[in-house]
Amino acid sequence: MPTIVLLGGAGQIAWRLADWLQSHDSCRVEALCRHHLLMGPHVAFGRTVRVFDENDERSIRENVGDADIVIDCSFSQLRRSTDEVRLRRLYNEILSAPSVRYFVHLSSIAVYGETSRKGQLSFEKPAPDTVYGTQKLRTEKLIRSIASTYQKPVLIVRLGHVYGSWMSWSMTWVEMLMKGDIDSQCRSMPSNAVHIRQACAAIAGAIKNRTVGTWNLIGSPNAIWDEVLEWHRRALQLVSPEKILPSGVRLAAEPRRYSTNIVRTLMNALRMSRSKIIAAVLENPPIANGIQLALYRFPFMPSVSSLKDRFGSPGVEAYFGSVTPDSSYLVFDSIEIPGPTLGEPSPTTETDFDEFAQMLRMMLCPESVQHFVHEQLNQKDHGSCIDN
Amino acid sequence: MKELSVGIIGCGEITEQFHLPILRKLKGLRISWLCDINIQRAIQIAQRFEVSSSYCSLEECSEVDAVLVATPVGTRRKILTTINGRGWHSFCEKPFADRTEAHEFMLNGAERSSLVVACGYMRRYYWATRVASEFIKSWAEGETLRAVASDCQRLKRSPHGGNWYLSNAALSGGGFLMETGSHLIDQLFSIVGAIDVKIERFSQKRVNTVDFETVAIGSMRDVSGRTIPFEFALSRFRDFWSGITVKAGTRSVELNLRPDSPIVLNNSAGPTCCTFPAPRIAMTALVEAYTAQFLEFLKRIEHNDVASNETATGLLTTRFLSECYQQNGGSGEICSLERAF
Repeated sequence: MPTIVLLGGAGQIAWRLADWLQSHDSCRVEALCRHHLLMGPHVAFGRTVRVFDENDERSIRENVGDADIVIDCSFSQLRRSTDEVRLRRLYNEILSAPSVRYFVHLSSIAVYGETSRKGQLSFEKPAPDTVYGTQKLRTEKLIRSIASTYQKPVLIVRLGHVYGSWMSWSMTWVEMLMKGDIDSQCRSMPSNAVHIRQACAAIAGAIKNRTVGTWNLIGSPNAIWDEVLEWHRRALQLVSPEKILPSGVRLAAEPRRYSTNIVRTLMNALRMSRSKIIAAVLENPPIANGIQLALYRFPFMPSVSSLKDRFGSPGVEAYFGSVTPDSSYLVFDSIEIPGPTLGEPSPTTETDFDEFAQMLRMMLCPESVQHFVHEQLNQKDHGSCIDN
Repeated sequence: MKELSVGIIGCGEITEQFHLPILRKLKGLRISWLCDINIQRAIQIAQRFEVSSSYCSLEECSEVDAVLVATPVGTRRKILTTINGRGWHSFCEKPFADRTEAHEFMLNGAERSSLVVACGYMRRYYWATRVASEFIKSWAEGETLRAVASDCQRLKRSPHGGNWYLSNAALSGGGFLMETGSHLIDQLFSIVGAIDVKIERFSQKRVNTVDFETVAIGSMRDVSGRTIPFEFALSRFRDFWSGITVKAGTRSVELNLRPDSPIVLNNSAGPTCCTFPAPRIAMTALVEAYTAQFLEFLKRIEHNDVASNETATGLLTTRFLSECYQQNGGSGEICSLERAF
């Protein structure tokens, strides 16, 4: 049973990768991190973590000395010459270790430069245009050079934007969706996103096959950005207006802001006081996930009749109601229909989606915290479970 | 009022980024010296902010009217005893103390010397805190209230070294509960106007003596004698909703923990809901809150308002923290993870 050591073990990708490898492959996984405080979350969830001092050669040797495979998920700043000395020492120690037979370094497609600036997706030649991309490319070169000295097989994986549960990119996009800060020009461009599960599976596969060389890793098939965003929007139970409105019907104003608090309140209101809520049912519903809500913000408060005039169309029954008691500007409609779902925006599974939606609920609803508190306090064997 | 001379003890990041830039702009005070056990750091910061003197020992410091204490909570008791002995008013970083007994000891010392003390619970001065409090006051007395307060900051990376004060339970006073939970519970107490608190059940998880996760249920009492049950959750292990919500019957008021939090009013019985955006962006709101707390401290010095020391230092907050760490008479559960290493 090989021992896999993950550098940067406290990071978001490493801990998902550790979970994946432990549950899918027969191996022993040890995560390495630089600060003992960072071990806390891992220990709480039953993962094994080691702390090492990257400035101490002995500490590095001790912690990778039993590793067959090292996966480098860390990101080290390479700004000063001392950083390069530190990194060179770290990789030297790891790649010179007799037990280490295979080394994987997670890099980034940032080495190709920003897609949005170029206007197209290009993986032809590294040309970083950010500090992050430049540092990643320098680290790649450093690793290749040291690996060739010790004749160790090395796989360099240039990862796209990794999304999914607990991924910071997902949280960034959720925040952007809630604020309505999405650049519409970028939305139709091919994305370089990859779901964390796909990334873990691909890396695990490469490890099994001992793949070497430099590879890009993005979702396949390659979704456009709008599809990736739609995946997040669905989990937020925010519906893009274009998807709801029948063809030919336009919004009075572009939606600029979504509020999950309001979505949640409206959901409660729908459940508790259905007669007061006016539901909108489209003839050929394009969306079905129980109740979906769309919130539109207008610069003024339109009357219900004027909204009906604007949004109603033959064969479509659409009703609207004000959600603010003070003649403000929020207007909502709602849809409640069983039926086919939106076309899957990416090759992720429903399980991936459910996991993400559940995570969002936990992060967006105070009721979930109440539930969590009582659940924790009612777990009688909670302490002993974790202690083991 | 004559110009006050002020000394600053502790030259960490918060002193450099917030306290000093804000204090030096306030009228009616002059920063006389900086003091830090790392004298190089003190000199460096003093030069940057044009402070004339820097010291590495409190005993060497020249006389001032008031001091700002910005050292970890675990170091406070000795420092405040010296400060009280020298007759200086003091403003402490939060939390004021890690245990009720230590808090009362320091308050008594200040009271004996007729000194004003305060603590930097600046979230009390956030716009959302004040507005939420007003909403709750405006709701009919006698209405049943219930609150949820939670905060999570899952550890992802640390730019600090192993000697960071939060890695040391003795220095930090415990861990995440002391560092961040103190703010959260104090903000909740401010919003509902709590004058008493009782913890009914709680559970805490620690790693190497540093607490990472605390959940508790309990009740607060406000000035009208109303009992307000609450759920409290704090974690560096996982992600969940972070904010404060207070429900009164079918209504609720909700805010997040940012300086620029909006106020969200909900009504679960009907489709009414309203969001009031904060009037300031986050950084402006934060600076305003810092400034407001210092101005109140200066005003209290001017009026020699020693009577407000207990409220200003958050004795109730310290009581909550203290009871959590002391297992609340044995009803709580502390899960230590030391064995895992």
